[in-house]
Amino acid sequence: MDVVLDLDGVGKDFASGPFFARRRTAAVTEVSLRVHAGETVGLVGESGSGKSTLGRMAVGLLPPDRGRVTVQGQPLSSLTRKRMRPFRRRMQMVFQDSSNSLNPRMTLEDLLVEPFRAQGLHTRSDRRARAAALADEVGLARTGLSRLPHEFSGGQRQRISIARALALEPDLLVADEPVSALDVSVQAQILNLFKDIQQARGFAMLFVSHDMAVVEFVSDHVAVMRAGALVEVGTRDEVFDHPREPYTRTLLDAAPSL
Amino acid sequence: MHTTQEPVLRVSGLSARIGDLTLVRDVSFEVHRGRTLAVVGESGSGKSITAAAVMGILPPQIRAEGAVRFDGAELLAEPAKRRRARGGAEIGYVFQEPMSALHPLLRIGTQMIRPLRHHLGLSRAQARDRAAELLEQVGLGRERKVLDAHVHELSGGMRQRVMIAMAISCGPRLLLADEPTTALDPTVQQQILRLLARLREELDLALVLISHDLGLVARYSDEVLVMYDGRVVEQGPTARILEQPEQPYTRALIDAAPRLGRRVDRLPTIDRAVLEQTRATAGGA
Repeated sequence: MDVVLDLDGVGKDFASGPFFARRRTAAVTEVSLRVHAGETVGLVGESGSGKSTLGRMAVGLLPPDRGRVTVQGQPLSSLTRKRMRPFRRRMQMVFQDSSNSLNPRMTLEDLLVEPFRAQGLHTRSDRRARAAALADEVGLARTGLSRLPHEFSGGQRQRISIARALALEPDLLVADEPVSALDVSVQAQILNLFKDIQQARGFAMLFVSHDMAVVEFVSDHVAVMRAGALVEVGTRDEVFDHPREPYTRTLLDAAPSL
Repeated sequence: MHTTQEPVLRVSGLSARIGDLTLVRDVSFEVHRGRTLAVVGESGSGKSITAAAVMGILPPQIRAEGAVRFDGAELLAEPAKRRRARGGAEIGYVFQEPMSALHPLLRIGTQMIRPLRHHLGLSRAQARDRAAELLEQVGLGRERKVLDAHVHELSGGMRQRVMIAMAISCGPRLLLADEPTTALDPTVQQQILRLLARLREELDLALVLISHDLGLVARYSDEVLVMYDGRVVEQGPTARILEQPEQPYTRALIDAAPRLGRRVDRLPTIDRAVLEQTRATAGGA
């Protein structure tokens, strides 16, 4: 399988504390992780573990202070601003609260056409056809194409975000807590959607979540993160059936279950 | 459930309306001392409005009807002033978001002391000592540090512990916790739920846990009330509801949640037909 995302000793520091006694704290100390095409790696950890910071570095939204991020063989740090722009279509991100990332004045069709326009792809009518096909793919009715974001439910808005992320056919998708704000019944639909689309398209996915049961459902491989470092990495079955680290066991014990 | 004593809280035929729109329809339940009732439902199910009606903190445009009996008194008939006096003292309330429930500029100690002086008539020094005791009771140590801290200096788990300390500070007999752990990490969630369970034992409280997560509250409740679209779908002992739910909606809600150890390819989603049938038949309406 092809390596799509290669994180090599990646780290990020943030400044903290009062102005005159500013300290640098590592949000991510040094992480190495690979995600292959057609594979989902679940990145699990608690708040403050650095999992979201790592996700942002993986798609080039945040430059690392150490190490190297390589996507499809291309080290991101070597890309100039000009060359980064077309490259961005290959790596996309879906966030937890999609309501904040959708322009409230744009209709569903505008929102789905926008990624093509930003990249200057396709003709006008072609873009609209593609927008309609995207709506179909993520299970949004075409009758809603002229509606505004606030007319959709939380689950539907998350579908819009997923459709926008998929529009440019990325090789890598980073999803940061994409179902945490959703009701259980909607969460089930969106998780199924992630699985279906990934199987159909075969992109590499880094799925960031604090929820062990969700990670177990979506992941092929699992990476457990704590205090800026990976404490355990393995296949889903290895990590969930035979966790080696006491911390992984703590997370498993704390997960709500019926 | 099998106790002969009067329940601490008895809600019967509770409805909440805004104009012609019914938000909650005909909800009935009881909670006894030392017992926990979990009220479970997705957004829009009416679980939080039910709790707000019990607390008497509904927005003025929402009208509550029916009966809410607390310790022998009919709350819905009481004047607003009397109800406010009960709220916080006799009935404790824990919100989902302690960050917005706690004052950002006042020290924790100052906020804890006010209700103690107001409801219990303690002196400043007595109230301060009592506040320190309460913090110890919720696992924040007998330190003045938390008393002198501001909300933003505390972690999410510590904030929720402070909220719980304040909720139990005036000796309530009933504690309502509305999504008390939703914003917290799983390990912290577990700690907070264990704390609530322990306090329920120690203080012989009747506890109502309101949550969207059946899996989370199941371990900590004696009885479950499942709501959908403002109505009660099903209620009964927790073990029975989980093992043999009578209603297809309850079954579907249980199955839709990813569960550790259950490696399925797809999650069962809730059928539209089940939702329609539930809407048509739930609550006997």
